[in-house]
Parts: sequence; structure tokens; C-alpha cells
Amino acid sequence: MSGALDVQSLSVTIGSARIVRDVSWSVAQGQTLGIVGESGSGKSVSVLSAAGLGPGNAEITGAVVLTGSDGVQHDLLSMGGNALRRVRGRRIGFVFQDPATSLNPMLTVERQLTEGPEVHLSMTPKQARGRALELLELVGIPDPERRLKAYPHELSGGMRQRVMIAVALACEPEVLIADEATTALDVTIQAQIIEAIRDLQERLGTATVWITHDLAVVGGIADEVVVMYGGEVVERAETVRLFQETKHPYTRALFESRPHLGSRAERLLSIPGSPPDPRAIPAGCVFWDRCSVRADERCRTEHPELVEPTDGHWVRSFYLPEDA
Amino acid sequence: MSTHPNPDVTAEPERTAYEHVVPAEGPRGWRRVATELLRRPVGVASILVLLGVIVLALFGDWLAPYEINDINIADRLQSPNAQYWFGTDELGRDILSRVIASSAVSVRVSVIAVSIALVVGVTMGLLAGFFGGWLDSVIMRSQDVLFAFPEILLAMAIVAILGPGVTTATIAIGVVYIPVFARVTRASTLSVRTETYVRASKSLGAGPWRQMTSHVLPNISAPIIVQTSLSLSFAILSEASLSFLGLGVQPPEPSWGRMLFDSRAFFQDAWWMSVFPGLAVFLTVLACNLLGDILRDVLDVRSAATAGGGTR
Repeated sequence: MSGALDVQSLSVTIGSARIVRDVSWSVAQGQTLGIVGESGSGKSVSVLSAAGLGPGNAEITGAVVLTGSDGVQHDLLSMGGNALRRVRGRRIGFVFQDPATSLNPMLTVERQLTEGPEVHLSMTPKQARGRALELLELVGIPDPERRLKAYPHELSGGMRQRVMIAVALACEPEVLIADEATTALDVTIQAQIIEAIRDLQERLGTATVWITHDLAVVGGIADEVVVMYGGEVVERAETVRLFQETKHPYTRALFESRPHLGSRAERLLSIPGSPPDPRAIPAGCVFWDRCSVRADERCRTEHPELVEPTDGHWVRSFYLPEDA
Repeated sequence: MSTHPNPDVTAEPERTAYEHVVPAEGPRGWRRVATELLRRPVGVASILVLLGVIVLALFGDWLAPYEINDINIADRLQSPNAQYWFGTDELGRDILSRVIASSAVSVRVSVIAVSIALVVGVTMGLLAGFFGGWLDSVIMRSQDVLFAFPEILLAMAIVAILGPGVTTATIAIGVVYIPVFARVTRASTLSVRTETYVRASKSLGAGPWRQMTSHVLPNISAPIIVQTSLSLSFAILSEASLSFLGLGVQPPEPSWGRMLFDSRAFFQDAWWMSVFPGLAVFLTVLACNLLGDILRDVLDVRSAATAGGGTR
């Protein structure tokens, strides 16, 4: 298995809190991986830690390997600060949730766009300016000449996120990580941004990791989906597979709690309870206390392994729909 | 912003109210700050006073009507008149010429002293605030020690060690104002370094140095500029105090503080000897302070957008 970014049995521990446990996934060039989970499921922490951006006092084990388009492999977890700095921005780009805060309010769009190419690609200011113009056009911002001189507060939310995407893609990284990149935007803008990223991905062949809690977003964009709960992967499959043959009780509950167009339910279904405390991970299944199909003592005392009942579809549960 | 519909400017033909609120083609950056400053009468007045002081400091030699050290016993202790606008002192030296000449000393000492404080203090505060931990403790505790002494006492102690004179007074004043800059910078750095855009710059490969200089520093420049303006006024006062005490500028070179000291003996008979140098100090310091206050209002990009009637 080799992709643009391979994560093998990644675990993140802070003190006694085991925030992420044994997470593995990989995303190939030109592909999109969706990582879904509710708040506190460890989805952001796992990805940020992989790039050395996690909490400073975290203890990280496992392997994270980034394969460049030139075939060179970078083992991100064993890298020193300087080497890691040369990878970040050059080979991995990040887009964060709120474009209002992730752009520097005191710098013009031009300065934010030229910084990366000047640092990583050793461009002259003039070349970098040309690159900035090109990038703004690439992400679909009209009148780029004028927007270069704008400050972030002079742009709308959607435009800001486009600029942020342009910043992230400035050095043509192999991997783009979108951490809830559309959550702070309203739905129409959200669709535009997703469209823009998908379009860019096709043109540049970037591998994308899309972290979100929105199944609809993932359904529209991802090739493969990883569902995380309580710091573990509970289900992983190709998107179509996951949507059609949902196996894990948690994933099924997620689907059931979505509002459906046309049917006005009295109340939206929710999953009662909250995710486990990372400082006191239960011995059995992490989803045990909230699970609707939990059957016996085994769920409470024995930790289910991630198994592959059908080819390419991984589930961490003792009870699969076929048995129930 | 969240309570406000946010028209996407991408829709070009539809010009929304937003376009009028924040004109896309307004003056920006320093030009905008300058425009805002000039819209306020007090701002214009302080700038004029400070420009006047600077002009006097630079071209005082040509502007002064008399040689500053020309002793003319016949014309001693004259009250202001057509020949001597500000009167003369006990040796018949022209007060106006001496006040003008003193401005050069004041400007030089305060600008150099504040530059020292600015560079050292901002660097220390930035490092302390950005890295935190033991570095923060070491730097800030050392600043606390400096801060614990009354300014003038500390300056006097430094001058006592290095010996009196203009250079040592400058260094002493510079050192005394380091902690203020360190504190202002550290506090602002603390609030800015956790902002998403600093994290974002890190995620795009910026090292600590780049994060500090190109992302933290521009966002904390406003309080630092304001502090610079305020510190300039305090530095002028400190220089005058040190010279008054005989620890700064040495006679016969004139200085506002020294002139005030010399005037004490004649306070009841020759008011002009103390009033004019005192007025010079007062006006310069007031102008610096007012400018600092106005800069505080003007320098924030976001609040400037609000001042134009905007909603953000």
C-alpha cells in the first residue's frame, strides 16, 4: 500500500489521555479521503499530529510517510524541526475552518500568497507576484489584480476561503488537508468551495484529506471514508460502499440522525450520550454505552478489532448487520 | 459579521451596500493612517508642533537670532522685548536662541533613547511571549527588577555609574524604558500567537523567526507605535530632569532642564527665564502624548473600517 500520504497505526497520547489510538489510513495522488466523526473523536488531532502541528506535549507513535511526486519518501514523525518545516507548505498544504481568522488581518492578500513561494521555491518577489496572480485566478477570484492589494477584512467569507486555498496550494503540495474547511461557510458558498477544490485537485493531482463532521460533504467529494469515534477508526470503506452497505452501528446512527429532505420528522434523531473520556477509555467497545445493537457482555469487556468482512471494507464491531 | 448578511462580492454586476461601506479603492496602509490623522484637528496640531520642534532641532543654528553662548553683561536679565523676544538670562544670553538650541539636544537624546528601548524591549517581549516557558520567566523577571525602581532613580543610578554627560544620559533613559516595551510587546504577543493565522503560517512551513517577524509583529505594531509615541514624551521629560539635576547635558551647552535649573535663583525677578524653557518642554510632551492617543484610535485596520460607518 503506498499513497501520497500513508498513516500507519498512529497514536497520540497526552499525559493519561489517549486521544488517538492505532489509526491507519492512506490517500493516493489525486484521491480524496474523508475523515468523519463528531467533535472529540480525534479526527483533527490525528491529522495535525501527523504533520507535527499537534499539541506540543503530545506523545506520538506510529508512522506517517509522505511520498513526493518525485518519489522521495518523507517520514514525518522522525523528522527534525527544520526538515519538517520544509515539508509543511511545500508538500502538505492546510486549509482551516474559519477563513476569518486563518488569514493574517494585517497583511495584504499578495503578501500572504507570496510568502510560501518565496520561502519554499526560492522565487524572487516578482516571480512570486506572478505566481500569486496565477493562484487567485486558479481558485476563481475575479479581478485578481485588484484583490492582490486587498486586506482580508475587505473580502467576503467565501473569497477569503478561496484565498486560503490559494495560499495552501501556492507551492503545489502533494497533499492538501482541509480541516472543516467549509464548516464556517453558508451552504451555497460551501458548494462553491467544494467545487473549487475538486476542480483544482483534478488539475493538480493533489491528494486531499477532508476532515469534517458533515456526511453530505464527504458523500459529495470523497473517494474513501474513514469514520472515527472515540479516537479510533470504527469503519473505513469506499464512499459508495459506506453509504450503501453501512456496517458499523455508529455509522448507521450517524446516517439516521441526518435530517431528510421532504420528510418532516417531529424530532431529529440523535445518538444519546457523549463520546468516552480519553483519560478513561473503556476496556470493551468504545461505542458500547451508546450503541443500539449492543447485545451482551462481550461488547463491554472485549475490545473489537478492525476486521475486513468484505474486501476493502473495514469495521470495528462484533455485530454486523448480516448477523443482527 | 455573523448577524449580518454577507454578500459575496464575486457577484460583480450586483453592487451591494457593502461596497459603499468599505470602498474597495480607498487609501490603504500608511496613506490611510495619514488621511485619518489629518482629519482630526488635534492630530494636525500635534503633528505641527512636533514638526516645528524637529525643524528647530535640525536648523536651529540658522534660525536662532543670537549665538547661544554670547555673553552680553550690558543686556543681562532683560524682560521679553523687540530685541530679545524671550528675554535674556543673568549673563545676557538670548533665551530664545538657547531654547531653540536645546530642542536639538532633547530630540537627539529622546529619539536615540527610545530607539534603544524599542529595539531591545520589543525583541525581549517578542521572545518571551512567543516561546514562553523558562525564557519568558528569565526575561520578564529581569524586567520586573528594572521596573521596581522609580524611573528617574534608576536613570540616576546608571548615570552615577557611567558618569554624567549627554551620551550616558541617553543610555540611561534608554535602559529605563526597556521594561515598558517588553511588557507591552509580550502581552500583545501572547494574545496574537495563538491566533489561527499564526498556526496557519506554521502549517505552511514558517519557522519561529518568520512567524514572529512576519505574522506576530505586524499584528502588534499598533500598541508598540503608540507606546513609542508616549515614551518619547517621557524620555523628553527624563532628559530635562536629568539635566536639571546636572546629570545630563553639561554647561555651557544649553538644555531645557539645565535652563530651568539656572532660572531658580531668578525665579521671582525674571519669570521669562523659567517660563519659556518650561513651555517648550510642556508643548513637546503634550504633542507627543496627544499624537500617541490619536494613533491608538487610527492604527487599527479593523476599527478604522468601523469608523467609516461600517458594521464590522
